[in-house]
Amino acid sequence: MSACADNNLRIALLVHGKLDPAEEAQLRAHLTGCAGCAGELGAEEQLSRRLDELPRLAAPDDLRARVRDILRARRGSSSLLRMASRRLLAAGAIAAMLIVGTAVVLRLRSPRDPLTLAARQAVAEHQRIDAQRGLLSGETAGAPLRLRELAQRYGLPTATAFPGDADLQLVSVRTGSVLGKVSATLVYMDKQARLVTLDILPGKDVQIPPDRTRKVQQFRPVLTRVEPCGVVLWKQEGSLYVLAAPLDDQDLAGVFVKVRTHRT
Amino acid sequence: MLDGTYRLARWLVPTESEARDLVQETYLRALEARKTFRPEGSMRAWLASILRNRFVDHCRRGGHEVLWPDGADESRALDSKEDAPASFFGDDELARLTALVRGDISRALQALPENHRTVVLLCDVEHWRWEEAADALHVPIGTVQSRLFRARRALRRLLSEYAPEEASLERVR
Repeated sequence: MSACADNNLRIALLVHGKLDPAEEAQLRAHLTGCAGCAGELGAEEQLSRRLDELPRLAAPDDLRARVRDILRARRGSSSLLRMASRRLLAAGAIAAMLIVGTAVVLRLRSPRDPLTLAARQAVAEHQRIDAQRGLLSGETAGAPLRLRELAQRYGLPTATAFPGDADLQLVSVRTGSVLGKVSATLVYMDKQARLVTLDILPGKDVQIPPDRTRKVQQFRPVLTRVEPCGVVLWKQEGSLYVLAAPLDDQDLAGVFVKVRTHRT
Repeated sequence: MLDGTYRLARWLVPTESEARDLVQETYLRALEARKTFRPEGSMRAWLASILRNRFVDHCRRGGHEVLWPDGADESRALDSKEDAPASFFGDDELARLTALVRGDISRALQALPENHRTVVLLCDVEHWRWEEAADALHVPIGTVQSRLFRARRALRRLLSEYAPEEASLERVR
């Protein structure tokens, strides 16, 4: 009996193909005359079959896109390009290997201005969310909780961000990625069912040159366009805010003031 | 590679959105820590290691204890209370009851402690080599083997517990 109990580990090893030929032959000889051990083998094989039947989920397309953006942002960042050439090659090789699984082919890109890059990434995210707007209604109820979660998890000031109002309803809160950092993406919908997204991310290392800003009431944000959206970027208490919406400059400035001043 | 990383995340955290967060954080961290990757090593094991570390960090920050931490508890007998479901989701009994009602292999897996669940996922679901799993989990191959053995025993026992429940449900119908 004790010998059979000792066989349990051998049987598990047999199922995984880890027994050497001599041990396997010895065990198989034993199995022909031992119903208990044969049953043990049957149970182990059945478990393996059940595990094999588990669904093999694929990463959703929008997650692939976000990972691709993370890798792009990092590959394009100036800090990476300041690295010595050998280290750059190694980093590039790793980034390329990471991308292999995403089936995305990247071209080497020249370093980009962080503000331009942030605007483009925010608009790309806006477009992705807009394409999935059918999912948003299911996320609205959980948005306030999600704001608090992201504030706690990432230390971003999401819990005090503009919570929406009758004209601009907060419909979803997601995580995104901008400039290779995790961002909180707040999604609002206006009365014309146009989506407005606000990305909030750590911004201590992002500089906003004064000569690129424009006066909007008492503030000086950066305003730019990445079609089909207008984009406003500003710094606030160490965070970078990126507001994107398919609005003209005047309407966009109005939304910016609402979002920027809601606590002041 | 992204698919495998995503699947592991889905098994570790309770919601899809948390899995997405975990995968994104993993890739961000991977790029920050790219110098720690050994070219001769397995890229997916390195990513899995980062993902699992992020997950454990989140559990600890959220005040959740990770059952069966590496090391001391490895030698405990399987027949003890350690077969209780993982407590990551905050309600062990709920996890167990859900498993009993559903009675499927995925629920049984969720009922395992995290480090046993992960080794089953890597070795028996994703069919990684044990060496790769050991690399990802930062444990010797012998530990992978013992965890896998214990986890499979626990799975079989959980599944056998579910079977009578399912049968009684059938009779009710």
